Amino acid sequence: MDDPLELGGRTYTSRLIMGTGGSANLEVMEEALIASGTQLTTVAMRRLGTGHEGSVLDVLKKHSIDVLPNTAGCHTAAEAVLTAKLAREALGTDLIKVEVVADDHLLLPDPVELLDAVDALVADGFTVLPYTNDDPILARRLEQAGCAAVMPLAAPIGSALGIRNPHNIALIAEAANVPVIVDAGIGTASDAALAMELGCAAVMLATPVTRAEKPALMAAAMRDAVSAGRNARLAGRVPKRWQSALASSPTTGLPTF
Amino acid sequence: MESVWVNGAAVDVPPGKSVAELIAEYSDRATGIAVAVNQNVLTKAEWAQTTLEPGDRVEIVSATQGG
Repeated sequence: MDDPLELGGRTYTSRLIMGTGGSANLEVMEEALIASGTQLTTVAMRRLGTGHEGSVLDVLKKHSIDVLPNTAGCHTAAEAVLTAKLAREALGTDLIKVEVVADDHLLLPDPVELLDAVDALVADGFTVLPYTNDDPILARRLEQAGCAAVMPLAAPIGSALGIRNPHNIALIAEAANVPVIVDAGIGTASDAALAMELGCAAVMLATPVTRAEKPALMAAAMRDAVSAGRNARLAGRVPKRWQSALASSPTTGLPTF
Repeated sequence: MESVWVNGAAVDVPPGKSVAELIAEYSDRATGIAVAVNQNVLTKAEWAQTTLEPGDRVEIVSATQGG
């Protein structure tokens, strides 16, 4: 079935966006990326000469994976805007995943700074994908500000707690006219499947794969979970019946004894 | 010599040194790198045209694993 993800004028057959943070080394990262089937993967921008740089870009290029720079580590709109401009210049992409966190303890988005950053970046021509709280109203405001997608968290970054408020995620997905991508907090495959079943367009994750005991195996599990969840969403699940059962075998022609 | 800040560290440079010359000392890769001087992001075309001034704060960044 032809069911591409359309994101900022780009088209992807994979609905799993990967992060590269937390991998033990580039070889493990590469194996996981291949297993995940991802076509879009995040990188962070850091000072040259701090030992972090390397051939992460080479790995992405080798496998024709689009690069999605983020503004991880930024605490103000001004920092995020500057980081986004650096990323655009360094990587030649207008895509930017905007992260503006309120503190380093919970890494939760600062909604006021986030919206300020989004306004500036949209005005500057970026294709903006904001990491946001699972707040339906903030998601609406981000869409109205011109974001190409909204990326509500399932749970705090790296917490692996799964979707803490599925009702809010469903509300956001229901209301949005741009892709909704659950980002952060995914722990295992069933979390990713649930995100898709709730109506999200894609899932973004890093930690549950890169820090798994077997990253490539978990990456494959996430790939399958996203696909299964998407198919289940499109297939239209049966309603939940709380009051009674519904026989699946015919009631006519039942022999009597 | 004059002093500028490069990625948070004080560095002595000769008067008239360009940003392009500075970057060449930090990386042999011209791609995947971006530079901000005093919070202004430079295009690659501006690297050679921009001369460092005393006290300039230079940030040189590249992509790394993250997110």
